[in-house]
Amino acid sequence: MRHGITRYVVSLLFLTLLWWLAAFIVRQVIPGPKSMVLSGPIKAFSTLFYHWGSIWPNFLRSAIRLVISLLISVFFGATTGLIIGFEKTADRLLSPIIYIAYPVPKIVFLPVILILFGLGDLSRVIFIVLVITFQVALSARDAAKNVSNRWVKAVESAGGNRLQVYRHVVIPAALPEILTSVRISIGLGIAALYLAEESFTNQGLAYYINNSWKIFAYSDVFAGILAFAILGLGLYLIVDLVERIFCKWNYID
Amino acid sequence: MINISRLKVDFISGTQSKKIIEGIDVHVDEGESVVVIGPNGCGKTTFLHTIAGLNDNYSGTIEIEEDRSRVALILQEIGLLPWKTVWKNATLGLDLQDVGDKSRAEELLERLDLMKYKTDYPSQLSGGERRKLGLVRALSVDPKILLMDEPLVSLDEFTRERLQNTILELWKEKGLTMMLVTHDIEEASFLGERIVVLTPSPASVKEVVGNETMGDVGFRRSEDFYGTAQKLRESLP
Ligand SMILES: Nc1ncnc2c1ncn2[C@@H]1O[C@H](COP(=O)(O)OP(=O)(O)O)[C@@H](O)[C@H]1O
Ligand SMILES: [Mg+2]
Repeated sequence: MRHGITRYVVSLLFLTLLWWLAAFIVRQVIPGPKSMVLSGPIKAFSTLFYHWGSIWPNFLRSAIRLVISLLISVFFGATTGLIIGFEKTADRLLSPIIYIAYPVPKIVFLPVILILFGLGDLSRVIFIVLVITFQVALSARDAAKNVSNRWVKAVESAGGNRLQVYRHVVIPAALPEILTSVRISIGLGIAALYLAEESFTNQGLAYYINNSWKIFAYSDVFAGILAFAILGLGLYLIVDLVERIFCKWNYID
Repeated sequence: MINISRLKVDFISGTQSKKIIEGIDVHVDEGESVVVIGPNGCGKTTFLHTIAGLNDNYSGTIEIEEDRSRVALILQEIGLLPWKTVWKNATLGLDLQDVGDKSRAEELLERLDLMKYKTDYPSQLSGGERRKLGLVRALSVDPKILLMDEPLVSLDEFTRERLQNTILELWKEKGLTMMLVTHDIEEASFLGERIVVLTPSPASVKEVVGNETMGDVGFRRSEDFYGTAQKLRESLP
């Protein structure tokens, strides 16, 4: 961890400063109570701190929904992606399906999912999985396509079977790209989570933010946004850690 | 023992079919060392991969009097796995065959002076060290037959000769049946009891040069070594 902590602290201070500046300008330009819409950082952080008791259950609920969705997406996305990228027949059969399905805006399916699978967490997880899986599958597919033949031959000539080729070559070779797609998935997943938590639920960070809007508790809105940022940051750090453990070879110069 | 007769390989791309190997007959006795020499692009790699079972598109017969797990191939590009440490690369064959006892890999690493890099990754090794690791990986499964595709290509003269000596020692010591392909005349003259000269593409056997007096490191300075090298020079296009 080359001065890892310092980097985060400096970035945080920088963003906070920008935010403070924006709030300050808004207060000068827009007169009256309207300017309250953009809370300053100090207010937001202190609200996050003092209202943590009521934010925490929402944070936890969102985190669980997101993490479960991410795990399912990465498992299925990476598995199918690797097979499509590595097996020519699977590529011919399934790549067109991915190309057709990937660009369709998944939000149109949210009501359908809610009707079919009910108003509970199952529907929310299905929706998020639908949003992020294709992207993981595409990354894994492209990574598997670029697996060098010499590595495959090395394992095959040493008596390795197909499963062993996946285990010793395809999966480790594609892992860095898969982890990159997981990072992208965290951003996408949070956006999808927000949409999925806007209605028919009484818990979750998006619910908390929406509810705060309704009661004009602007600083709580921003405390909720901060909580989202913390959730995302935590997940990014976990992915970094996984990468540092399993892709050590990729960090050598 | 390896027995290859009337081996033919065609590569088909689209509607075009290209002859790569036109007909090769080679016999390698148990414990013998045969070098196959030919110009770049003549089909040496294709030939060796076909023998190693990496290419099913051939006609003719390939008889190998050994269990497949006792045949080792060293690829032209070595094919070390960048995500595995030196140790994990060395034991790859053993891991694939579910052999728990890794002592042979350990001995070979020790012997080829690679043990100190045990926890390093291939990208941290020099060209010569990577070649040595390829050799360790191939030999760690205790093969009877060792197939090598230009194992010492793109090394400096000094390292190449040292590794040729190592290969010679290991061949004698372990009684390996060895087949090595190369485009290097001195390598062929030093390591082959018999040297099969291939024609340019499509490959067929042009000539077989006997070289029975080879077998120790001093051979490089002998009349016979120069004689064989000269014969190969005249035979190659
Ligand atoms: N997979 C392949 N498909 C089509 N042609 C190939 C393939 N691999 C090799 N060739 C062709 O076969 C010929 C022999 O190649 P190769 O066996 O690699 O030669 P060498 O090892 O003697 O340099 C070359 O002309 C090469 O272009
Ligand atoms: Mg070659």
